[in-house]
Amino acid sequence: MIQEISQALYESGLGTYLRESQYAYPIVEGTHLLSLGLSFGLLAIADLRLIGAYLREEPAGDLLRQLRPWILSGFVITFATGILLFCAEAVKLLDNPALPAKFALIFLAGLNALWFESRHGGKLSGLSVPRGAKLAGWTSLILWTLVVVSGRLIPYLG
Amino acid sequence: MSVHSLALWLQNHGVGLFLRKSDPLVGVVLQNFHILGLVALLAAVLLIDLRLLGLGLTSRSAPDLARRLRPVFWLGAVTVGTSGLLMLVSDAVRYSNNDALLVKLALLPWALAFQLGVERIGIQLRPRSLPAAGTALLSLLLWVSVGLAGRAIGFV
Repeated sequence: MIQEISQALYESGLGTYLRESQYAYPIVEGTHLLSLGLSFGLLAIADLRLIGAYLREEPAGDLLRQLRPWILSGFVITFATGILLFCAEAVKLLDNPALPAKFALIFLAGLNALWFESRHGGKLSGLSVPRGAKLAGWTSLILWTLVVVSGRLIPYLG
Repeated sequence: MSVHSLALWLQNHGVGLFLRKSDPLVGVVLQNFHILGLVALLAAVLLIDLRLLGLGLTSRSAPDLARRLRPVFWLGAVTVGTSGLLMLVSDAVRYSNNDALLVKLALLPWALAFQLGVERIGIQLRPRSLPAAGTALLSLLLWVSVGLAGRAIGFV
């Protein structure tokens, strides 16, 4: 099933175009990398606030409210370019252990984010952060760091 | 001394030689530090630029935010710079022939000088004003160019 979908993506017009173009592929990959500044970069700032390591003078709820649209736009770019890269390389990536590891870590980080948003997202007020939200901050920092690392390992484990 | 002989010397002496002879895993670790440092540096740059554009963290004044972001910028810059230099000396001859790296090294001083010079004046300007927005956009353009040239090193 996964094999067939990957094969179809690989042979699709988009996949073939990206793989064979001189500039499109490096530009997509460069965008995937740089959008990390917006997605993971700003998320890490928010996480550091949650765990109480940074910007403690700023109410966590205020910081999150202001950063959320930028973090989400960052992740839209990171995910969209990531899907394009997968289309271009799908078949070659299937037996690369770094990729399923990366997907599993993204899934866990997503669950953590959903749990945090439903439980604490709009409810943080004042300077103190509840224990659960703090834990979600640590989890997010660790999981997304591992996502980046597993992504960087893809070319080495292929 | 030509660039080639300097590069040859670098990769055959001291740290360069040590890294060259060490496990390939060391190179992988350096690559990962390079990306994570880049994420920190970009986060600091983006937040200052968004503030100058009046689009983010408007609850704080631009000079105050810039002061608080300075440690994040330097943490990122030192991490990305150290890992980058180590990668460079470990394979100096090959890198010195890489056009993308030369473009990156040519752009980097401009991006750094802009961040440490012009942007320090920029944060004193009224956010959203034309000069403040221009400062932010130029800063973004410079760092994105450095980043893309850096990513291109692996493709040329």
